[in-house]
Amino acid sequence: MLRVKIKKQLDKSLLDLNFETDDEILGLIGASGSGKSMTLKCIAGIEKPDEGIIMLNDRALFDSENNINLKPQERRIGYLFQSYALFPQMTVRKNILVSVNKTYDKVEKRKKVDEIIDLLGLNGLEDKFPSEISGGQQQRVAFARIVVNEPEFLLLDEPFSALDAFLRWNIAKELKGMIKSLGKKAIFVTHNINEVYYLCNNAIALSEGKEIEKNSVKELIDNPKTEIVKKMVEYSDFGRSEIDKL
Amino acid sequence: MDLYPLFNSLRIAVIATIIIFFIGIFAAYYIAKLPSFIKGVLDVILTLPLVLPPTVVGYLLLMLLGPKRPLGMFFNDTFGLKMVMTWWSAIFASVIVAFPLMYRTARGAFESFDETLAYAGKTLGLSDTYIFWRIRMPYCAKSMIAGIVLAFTRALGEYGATSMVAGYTPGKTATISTTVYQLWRINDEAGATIWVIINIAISAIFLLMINSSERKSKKC
Repeated sequence: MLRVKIKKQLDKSLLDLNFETDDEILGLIGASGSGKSMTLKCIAGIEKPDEGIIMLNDRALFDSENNINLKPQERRIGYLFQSYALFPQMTVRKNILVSVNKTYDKVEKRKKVDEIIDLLGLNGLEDKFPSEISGGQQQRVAFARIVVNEPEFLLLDEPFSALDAFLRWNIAKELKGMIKSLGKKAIFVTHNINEVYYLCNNAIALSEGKEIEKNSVKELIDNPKTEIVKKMVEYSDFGRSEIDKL
Repeated sequence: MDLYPLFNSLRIAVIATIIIFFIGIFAAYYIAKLPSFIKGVLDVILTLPLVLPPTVVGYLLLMLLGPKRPLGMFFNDTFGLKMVMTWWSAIFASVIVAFPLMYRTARGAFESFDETLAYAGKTLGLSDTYIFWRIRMPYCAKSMIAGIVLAFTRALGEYGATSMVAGYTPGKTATISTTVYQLWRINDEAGATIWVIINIAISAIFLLMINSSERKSKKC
């Protein structure tokens, strides 16, 4: 269970959110500048909300009233970045090795790395640098790094936007499987409602820092209550007939 | 031939470069995070030595460190250390004159750093120190090497401020650059030429090192 109730002044708007989730993967959908990425950064502890409270299960990650603000290192939140953010000067193996949960000793750490490399099919890539492997492989390494860190919750920040459409759905499928096998709850951020449709049961639509709709993904698509969500759904159906009309 | 100026110049340049390296990267790192007004002011102050005549730097150093000046008196009374007209006085001069080269190169490198990598490191539980030395610095390594070499060659060639605060005493404070001037002044053209060649050779070798390190890193 993740509970988020935060306020933060952004450049153009006030981020003001209040939600709880116990979903497997909760969707957070909105245009760029809607505050969805900032929300993830606040949950991870990279950015600090002006006020509010963030609870993960029974643990307060942030609580402005009681002056609690855990460092990102102490929050145990896995963050999958859009760019994957693999450390470019380290090999695939080293990228995973430095991320292994600190509670393990040296031997156990190596074992964990070997296990995840086998599990995610990264064999043969161990000594390559991130720049030498494909986008899909980079995502797997990024995910391996998160898995060995043993987080309690996952944040997925537009993990497919950097990929072309052809690759996108293959990788989305792979990620869905990986999240399932990890068995951790997650928040998935995107501007693409089809991705939400594929990965989530429920979603929150954001605009200018506020929640504008919260519903099951099916309802959001079938009966959008706001113009913004309606547009999102329409644009996702943008096909050749619409192109002809332009 | 007395090789003392070579030895003295090298030790001054090496020590100055080590000091510049650490102060330079930490100044660049912390100043980049400050509000823009303070950043602008500090930036001007820290870059000034690059454009000021070294004699102005030397003059200011003498005002600070001279035997009858506050800092100079403090060091003399407390530690019995003379701050001017010793071989290590040249370190102060070299540090200040060459500092902006390291500082500006490091700042440029840090600004081009992809901050997402630091965020990723933090969420993966890596300490801030680890992120700085093992992720941020390697990412900026090329620029750092360039900064170190530029600072080192500048420190090696420092003349103006050095001659004011350390003077020229053969076998004590003589450096390559002050020796060149001294030999030229007493019409020892042959002697001056040798030291000119030595200085050009050392600087050229170090600048070549920047070029080859750039060529190597292009591969990845």
